[in-house]
Amino acid sequence: MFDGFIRDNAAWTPRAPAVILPGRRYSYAAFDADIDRLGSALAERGLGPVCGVVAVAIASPYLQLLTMAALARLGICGAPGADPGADLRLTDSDGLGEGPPVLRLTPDEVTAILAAEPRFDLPQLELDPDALGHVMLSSGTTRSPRRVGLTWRRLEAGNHANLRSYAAGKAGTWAPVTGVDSMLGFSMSVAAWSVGGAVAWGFRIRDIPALMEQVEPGIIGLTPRQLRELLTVLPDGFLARPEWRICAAGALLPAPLAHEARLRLTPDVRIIYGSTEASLLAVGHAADLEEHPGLVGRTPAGAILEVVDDDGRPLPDGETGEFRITSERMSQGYLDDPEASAERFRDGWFHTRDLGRRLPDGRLILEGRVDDRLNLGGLKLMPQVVEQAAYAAGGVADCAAFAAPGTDGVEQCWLAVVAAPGGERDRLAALLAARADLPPVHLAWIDTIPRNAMGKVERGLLRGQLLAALLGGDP
Amino acid sequence: MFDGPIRDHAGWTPRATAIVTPGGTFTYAQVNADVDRCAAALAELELRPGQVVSVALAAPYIQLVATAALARLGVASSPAGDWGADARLSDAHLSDGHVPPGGSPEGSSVHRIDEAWLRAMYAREPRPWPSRAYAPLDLGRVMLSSGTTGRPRRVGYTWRRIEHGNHLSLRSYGGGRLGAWIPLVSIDAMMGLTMAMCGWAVGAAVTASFEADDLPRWLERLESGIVAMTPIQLRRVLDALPPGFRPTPRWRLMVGGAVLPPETAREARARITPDIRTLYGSTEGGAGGQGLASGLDDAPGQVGITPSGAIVTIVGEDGRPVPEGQSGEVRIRGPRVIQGYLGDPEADAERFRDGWYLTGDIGHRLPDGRLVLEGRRDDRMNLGGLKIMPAVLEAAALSCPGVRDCAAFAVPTPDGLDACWLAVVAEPGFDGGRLTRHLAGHGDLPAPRYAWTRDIPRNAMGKVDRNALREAVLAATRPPAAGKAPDV
Repeated sequence: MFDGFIRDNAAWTPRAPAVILPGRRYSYAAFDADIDRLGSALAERGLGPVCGVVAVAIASPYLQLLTMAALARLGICGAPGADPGADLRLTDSDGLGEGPPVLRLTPDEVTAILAAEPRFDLPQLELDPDALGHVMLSSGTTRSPRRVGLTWRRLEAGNHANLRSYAAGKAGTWAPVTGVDSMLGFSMSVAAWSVGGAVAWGFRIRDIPALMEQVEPGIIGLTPRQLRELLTVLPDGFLARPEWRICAAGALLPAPLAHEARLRLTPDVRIIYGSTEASLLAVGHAADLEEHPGLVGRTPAGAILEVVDDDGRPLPDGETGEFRITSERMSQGYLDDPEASAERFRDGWFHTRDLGRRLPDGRLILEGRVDDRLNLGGLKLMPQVVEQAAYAAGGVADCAAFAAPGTDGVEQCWLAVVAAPGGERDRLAALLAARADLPPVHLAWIDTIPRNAMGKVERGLLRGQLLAALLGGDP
Repeated sequence: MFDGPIRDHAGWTPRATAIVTPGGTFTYAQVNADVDRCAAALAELELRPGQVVSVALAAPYIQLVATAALARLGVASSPAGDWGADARLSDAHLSDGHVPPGGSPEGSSVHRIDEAWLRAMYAREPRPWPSRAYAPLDLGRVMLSSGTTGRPRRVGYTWRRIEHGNHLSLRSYGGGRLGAWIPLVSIDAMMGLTMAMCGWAVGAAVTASFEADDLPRWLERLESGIVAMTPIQLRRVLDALPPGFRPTPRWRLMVGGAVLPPETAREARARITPDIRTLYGSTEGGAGGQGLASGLDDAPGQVGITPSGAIVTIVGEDGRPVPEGQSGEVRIRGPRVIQGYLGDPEADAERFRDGWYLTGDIGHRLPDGRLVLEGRRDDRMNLGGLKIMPAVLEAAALSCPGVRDCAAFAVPTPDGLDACWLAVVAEPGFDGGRLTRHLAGHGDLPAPRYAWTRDIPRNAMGKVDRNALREAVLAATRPPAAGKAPDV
């Protein structure tokens, strides 16, 4: 499927860059020819759709992209290297851990394959639209990742939605900082190739400012945490590049961070609210965060998103409930996990476990995870409400609210805070205490907020650390 | 489906332009509100999902709004020609004009969309019409295939097929483009519908009712985007370029509907923009080729590669694929191909076989994968056993200096064999003998008879009307019947 986009552009714009790596560029013609070379070599080693799901555990950035596309050209379902349920792992390293069977391509073999004369073009396959095209791993915050199967049709429908929402009108260079094994990174790569753009891959965050000055502007996809890091490493005197678009995904984008990015990087900062299971749920403008913290935008056409109460009944605009979604660009369940599937996929809806509400104009406000909801002895509260109050008070660089039991066993509200330079601790405590809409908030001052790879706060870890500290008598 | 992006962009960029007509500019917020108003008004006419409603509204803005409003209701729309005395096919008909003779056929209804109706509709409160879930295999749009002969055939698109086509356009010529999207044909033609839907999909400004003669000033005035037109319209644009017109290289021109003559392409690349692409497709089979106009220099008739997602093969008269490089009929299969005409099993049997759509186009493939079109199967001349495509003779004639336009066609002779004719538009004072000598130098071409004319008849899509030429020759050469004056 998406290998076809590369072949098309190899005919229309053969000399345009398809892949930009640190220090090297590959044109569409070169990339397409390499896909045929590698695809032929893999077919000779017996790889085909009957092999099932093939995980790409390849460290070399170019070879990783090449392998993804070559598998698609052979009609084989690809997967991230870490997929525990894959039928085969393709790798270029010799130190893979336990897991599915391994097919290793040594660097010498790869060199020989890519140096060979292209013997033949692989034919364009007629794919069964309902067959699996790719497996993604959903970012489970606690459990082992769940496997989400994307059919070829679902990949097409998802790409179409991307092209008419966050990517509308953009070509140029697309830099998926979240990695091509993430849903955002994978779909950005496919989308870039579908419009003849270049995928910039293998760059560290500190290389991004130079990239923004050197290549044709396009889209940078990252998590809020990576955006924070990008702003930290931004050289003095960096002139904002308004032709670039920044797309933040994976966690809520804090309004102050968005504000700084709009001033220092580009005014065109978008919020992507998506999930591996349901593709795009909403796309919004970061500028709107000033007025509505937690805003994630509106649902692109083709999907129906509802806000429902605990019994699954739709709620009126303005009331908080769980988001559920149905669309053509949605998966139908997890692979090999009927229990999780039954829990999250019901009656044609995917239940996101995200809590939020809808504004009268249709924009969605995300308040947090159902599982994060603090239950303070019966008082239910989203941690984001406390966190946003802390940011609004000022002097806070980062923070996360969580619950921990008090001496009486009743859960108390805690806020882990990383102070901004010059932030006054007493002032924050006083301002939070003055908020009539908040319960008493205990403050814990720490150096960093623990987050997972996608930038989501690990509240369980905070709770554990706090309890250990309290038990140890060291507040 | 295609009303959805209008709502999306009304949310993201409410003040951006959604529609430009020669008379006005309308933002996404305005258009979306009008689509909501119109949907509410149409719902009161008992139009419901499952029906096909033809839209015969001449004013461009309301034509677009009504079509999007039907989609918002989940009702399939169809062009104006899908209803009338000869084609009572749609279930209902929105008309701003008179009711066709014969009145309203049984089981269908005509709704007058007159000024009073429009005034009442625009005066409504724009209540957001709820987003609906579409059954992907339900009918979303009916198009009429541009049959060169006989009555048009009805092509039904499911919502999924509409999405699929939209995705293809976005990932081929529309990728990374905003600005103004200018179709020089209406949404009743495939190219116009595709352009409008794709322009809205990315939040661009879609124009309606723009004329080729006015295009030069729009190219200077609007934010650069895409223009879609037929070769004949491109010729008109070139003729309308004012003296001293400076090229506008940020625009992209898409030319489809007929093969783009290399000379026209070269002139347009130099005088308008170097970014010119060719589109080859059909209502039934979707996009079959997309190429760069610059590729016409070394391969006249080339229409580019087949965009991924469809399979195209060239087959001989026995229906089997021909060896690479040989001529044959172009056939196509894949998710962009419809499965048959609506209510026309006879035509289905003729054009659809084993999942393939037989395009009726004759062509061959170059070693680099590009398709070269030679003409229509129905146009192929059989001159007493010598088979030749008109395009071969036309290309040779056009390379003769002084020949401006021409069309080859076959005309039956009294002995039962077909004779080859060439209608020629030449520069004033052109010496016909020069063309005869020129063609004689081309080897094994048949020597045509000449019909000198002022212009070549073409249909709206720019395709030569060879039947008209044949009839004209027959009328002119037929001996007058006894006792009757010759036809005038």
